Amino acid sequence: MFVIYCPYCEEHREEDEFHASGQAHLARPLNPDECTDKEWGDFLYFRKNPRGLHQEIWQHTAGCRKFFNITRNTVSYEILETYKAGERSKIDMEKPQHD
Amino acid sequence: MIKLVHGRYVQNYRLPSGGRIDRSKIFTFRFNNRYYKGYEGDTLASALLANGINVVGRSFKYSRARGIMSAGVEEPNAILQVGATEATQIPNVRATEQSLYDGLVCSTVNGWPSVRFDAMSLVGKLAGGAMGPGFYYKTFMFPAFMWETYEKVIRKAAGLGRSSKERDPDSYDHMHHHVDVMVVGGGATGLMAALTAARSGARVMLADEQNEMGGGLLHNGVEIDKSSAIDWVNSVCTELDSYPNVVRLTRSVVTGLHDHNFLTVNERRTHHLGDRGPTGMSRERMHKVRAHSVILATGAHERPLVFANNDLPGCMQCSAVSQYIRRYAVVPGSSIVVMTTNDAGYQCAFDWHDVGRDVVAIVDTRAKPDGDVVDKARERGIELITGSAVIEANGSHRVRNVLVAPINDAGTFLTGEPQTLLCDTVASSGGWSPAVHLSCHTGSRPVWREDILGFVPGDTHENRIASGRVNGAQSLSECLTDGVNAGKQAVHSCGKQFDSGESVPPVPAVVEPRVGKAMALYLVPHTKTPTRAPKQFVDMQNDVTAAAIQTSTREGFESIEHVKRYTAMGFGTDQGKTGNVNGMAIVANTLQQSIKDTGTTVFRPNYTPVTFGAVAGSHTGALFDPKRFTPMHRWHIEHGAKFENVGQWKRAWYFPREGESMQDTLNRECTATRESVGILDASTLGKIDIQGRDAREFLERVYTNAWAKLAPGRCRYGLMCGDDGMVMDDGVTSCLADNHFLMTTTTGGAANVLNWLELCHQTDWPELDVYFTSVTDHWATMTIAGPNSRELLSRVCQDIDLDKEAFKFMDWREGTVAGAPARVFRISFTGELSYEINVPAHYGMHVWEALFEHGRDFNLTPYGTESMHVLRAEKGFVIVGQDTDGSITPIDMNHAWAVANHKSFSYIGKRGMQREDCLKPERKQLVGLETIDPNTVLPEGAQAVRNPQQSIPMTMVGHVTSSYYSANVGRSIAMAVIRDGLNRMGESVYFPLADGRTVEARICASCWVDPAGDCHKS
Amino acid sequence: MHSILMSEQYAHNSVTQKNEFADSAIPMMETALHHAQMSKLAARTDSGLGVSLSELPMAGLLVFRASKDKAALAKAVESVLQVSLPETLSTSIVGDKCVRWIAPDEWLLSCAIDEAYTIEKSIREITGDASIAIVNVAGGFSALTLQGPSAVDVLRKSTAYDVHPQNLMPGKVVNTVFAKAQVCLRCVEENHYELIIRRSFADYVWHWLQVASAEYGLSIEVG
Repeated sequence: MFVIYCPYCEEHREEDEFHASGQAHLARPLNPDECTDKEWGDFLYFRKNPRGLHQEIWQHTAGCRKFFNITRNTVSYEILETYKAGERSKIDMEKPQHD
Repeated sequence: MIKLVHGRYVQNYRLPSGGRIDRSKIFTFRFNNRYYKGYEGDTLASALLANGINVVGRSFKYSRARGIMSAGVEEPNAILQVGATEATQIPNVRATEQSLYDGLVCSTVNGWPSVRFDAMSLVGKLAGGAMGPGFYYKTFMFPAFMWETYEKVIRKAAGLGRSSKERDPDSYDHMHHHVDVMVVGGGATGLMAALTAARSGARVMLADEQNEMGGGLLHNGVEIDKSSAIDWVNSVCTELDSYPNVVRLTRSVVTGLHDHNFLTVNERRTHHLGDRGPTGMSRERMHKVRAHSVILATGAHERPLVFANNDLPGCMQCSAVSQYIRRYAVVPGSSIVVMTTNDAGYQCAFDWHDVGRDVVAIVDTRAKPDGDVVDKARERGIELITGSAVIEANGSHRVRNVLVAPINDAGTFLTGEPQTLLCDTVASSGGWSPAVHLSCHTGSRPVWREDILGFVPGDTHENRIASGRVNGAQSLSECLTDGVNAGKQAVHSCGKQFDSGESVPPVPAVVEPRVGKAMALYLVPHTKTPTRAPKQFVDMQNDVTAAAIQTSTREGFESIEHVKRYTAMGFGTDQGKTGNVNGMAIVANTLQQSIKDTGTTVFRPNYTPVTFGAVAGSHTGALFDPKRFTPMHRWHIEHGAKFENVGQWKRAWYFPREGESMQDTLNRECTATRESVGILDASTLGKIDIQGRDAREFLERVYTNAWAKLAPGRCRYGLMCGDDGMVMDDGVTSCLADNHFLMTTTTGGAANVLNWLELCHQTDWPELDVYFTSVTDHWATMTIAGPNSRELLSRVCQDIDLDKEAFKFMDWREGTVAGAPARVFRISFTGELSYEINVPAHYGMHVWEALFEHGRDFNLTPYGTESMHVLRAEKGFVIVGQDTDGSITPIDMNHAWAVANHKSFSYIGKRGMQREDCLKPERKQLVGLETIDPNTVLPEGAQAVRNPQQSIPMTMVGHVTSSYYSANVGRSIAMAVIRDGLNRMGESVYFPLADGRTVEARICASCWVDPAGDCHKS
Repeated sequence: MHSILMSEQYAHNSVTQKNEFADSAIPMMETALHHAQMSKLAARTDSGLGVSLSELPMAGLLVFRASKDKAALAKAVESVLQVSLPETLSTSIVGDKCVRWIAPDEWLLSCAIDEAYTIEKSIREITGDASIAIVNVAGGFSALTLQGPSAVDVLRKSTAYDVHPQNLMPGKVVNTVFAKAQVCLRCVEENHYELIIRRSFADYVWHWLQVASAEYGLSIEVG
């Protein structure tokens, strides 16, 4: 059970108020009609599954209903930051992490 | 009938005075159908020992007699079935954890047919090899068909307790807490830490598994601040209880320490009060605690030493012996031999000596022990045998004698001949293993410390402090100092401050003895090798021997995790509390490596077993899952409706009359609707209010069809796909004003659709000016359908012009229905003339009843969801989620008319639908089906084949999605997805059914009633 | 242009007046727990126990939405209701009106049921073309109050939110999980909480509260 800081409610809340919605920062292609089947398939189905830092999008379903981003360590389950949709992460994702 | 006999035993092992028991409160309890007596303050274990009961169970694998070994949660043997009635049965109760109450009924779980004479013990004695290490794997992997047989034998023999077959009459609940500092364990360290933290004003919770705080202080007879340690415990508890922000829980085991400092604390609230708890009080409460800081003051478990026949009743931990004597005034034998590798083990000999029983000898494995205790033993005249060990115990149901032999300094071999000492009790101490379990629950690995011969908690990124014995502290004064420091550190990490230096409690004064160095000894050597010597048990609960561990390493299972799985060491409810370190030491020794390099297995939640009741809490029975009701639910109940679950909603399914079968009811409801007028409670439909300048643009993007020209006052069917091009939801959306729409969704899809719209808006198109608000619960929705629906509506609605030209099909109007403010939508899911009346939910019942008042003239017939399904199927209308399954595109669904290809924005689903795979001609397509025999109704889900004569496995070409008998059509009708179905009208497909029949059906258009669509426009 | 349900404006008057259009009975409003007959229960239970529960009578509820034109909404709310839009997790109260913060772009107003129409209309007039939304959701919820010395314990058995008086203090409002439903939970004053529950879940929550408060003694009050 995580405890998650909602950047909109500005409070830590229990995990059962939230719903995870998968990998963050998936840009919907601006011109889907011009994508090849492969490009579209990559957008639709291919997701990262890293050991270590991962950025996910979560929704505060039982609270403010807002979506926001989480940078989370998939090994230690440590949440390093949460930030609003449209904002940028402050974590250097390339930096190697110890787990 | 079980004959009950009064016990022959009369607490012969109870001391005449002392102990923390109340002798004025005498309890009677039943163990294996005999009655015994004990006192308030006893545990079940102390009461059993007071009555001289040696054998409390048979071992899991070898069926050996076992007695009580410890006095706490680490007890591996005394695991009993408790409960006076079938309904109150609880398995896996540790006698050492269970407080005695009057009328307690318990029995051994292992041992079949009885614990004293056990048929299975022959297996243990003669055929032990058949259940050797790796037994689970060697036996069960093949042949597969033998699984069941083996499992039956094992389960019966193992007898791991059983659950009640009846409903549990007790209740359980949960409670949430948020604290600054959570202190786990109420011994000296925990009390000190909690006191320190509490003085800062922080929110503190202190939990201890015992019935009172104090831990070891309750029985080790030490002094703190020059008075009894128990006085100190009492004064700390009194102070803690005076703080409003402190919660102090006894009988509460912290069973799990999860991510982000979330703890589950299982409080046994009524277990000590009786077989059933008092009314209104939950039996167990699961406290769910979120803590900023956690202080682990879980203490340590004493390691028994591993020697031959060390599982005989009478073999105990040294500390347990002390605890029984001092805390419960029970001396569990007459003559004792104490074996120890350290100074702490001496105390139990002194306690035994103090109560006037015979201490045969203290066998110290160290050649030259030099602590203060050695002098004390000599002063008492106790025989001290140094540089030696108890290598074997003998007896059948109780220790009768032991073999003691000299050993070398490293404790690896014998250096002389064994001598025999007569005794009935052997207490052993191999040192103390910190109770690191909780520290491991989120993945941290404990670290070996050679100086204390134990594992201590490893590093974690969580805000946790291990304090006192669990962190390697050896003396009471170290523990108290650690406690103060941990308390301070936790308070500071919460960002809190102490008012002044004085509020931090001083470390109380304790006189510490001089302590000699302990010896590292785990497996005591024998004259024979482990495989030839009598069994030397490492893990009593799982019957794992030293020989088994050596065998597994010989067979190549060298990683400690493999050894665990091969031997079952530390499995199950035991979680390696007493045996793990001994086992690791044996592995290390066999592989000639250090314990540090061997490492530990992973300790998992739960620390002790948790009942299903505690896990479920109050979420049982009627409260298992929320039931959602419409505003007209009461009416449905009063009119005999049967209900069906649609998500969490309870929807009226059909309204049977006296003597009707379900089909009779459906026929009546469907016919009445098409002939006159029917009414459906459609309040469960998802409804989303959409406002904003870009509301229309947003609809353009999420629906497959066009919305640019929908005028206020008009409604339109909308079809929604995912990005993969598959149908996700559908419904009618109405234009309330230029920038204001009301979207409806399927009942089950409401929450998902709203979240989907929010996701699209918030993450992909935040620039669009649009707001979504769920209004599902705000509106009571009632659909009246049938040729007389206009007439009926006109009786209760005078302010809307119902003329068919003024209020056309797919129009909506605002007005007053039966006096209530309403929006009326002229839409139809039956194909009939139909109005969907929406009024605020608080008027729902009123309007519904008003319609019935006027409906008498029209035989207004309520119909439920089943008739709704039939009526729409007669028109071929789809239900998303029933006729679709996430692999159906709008084209597959024969809804090409709802797909606009020339919208400016590449709407969601467009690109997905154009993937190569979605364009293949051979896709499954939604079609109608008519069985050749009009009375045969195909089962939904039946698989279609083109040629029923083909050999199995047949090539399946689709399946039935909806199937009913239609009274209006006068035959069965069905919808199905069939490969290339739209191009195969008139062809037959076959349905080979599970009952052996093969049903033939012809593919047809999926519309049986009014294909021209005159009715709904009439 | 937005659509306000015009008929709302006279519907509530007709609660006490014979309806001029329909010959059927006077429209009767039913709260979500109408079937529980709380007033009968209130007469049968003792008062002053650990917890007291009441269902509030029907009230007007309006959802206000605004993001980039939040200032326009705030101005209109101030002018119509004489209160400012509350900040994160807080409330603004004037008389029987209470505005609750729900999300950065969402607020919930409760008011007398017959005032909702006028308030919506007035705010819409003032905000004009600004990007805002107002939704009448009066029928969508049930409002309960929980009072008494053990009210906070009942909450602790029902929600994982930190309801300690140091965290959920008077004037604070949160949306969270309640048993297996959701709640808009407000601390009105010490030992006095308001729970706004979706109407269809009201019976479940009512049932849950009976079980959770049994050990403290539950009295039913007329709201």
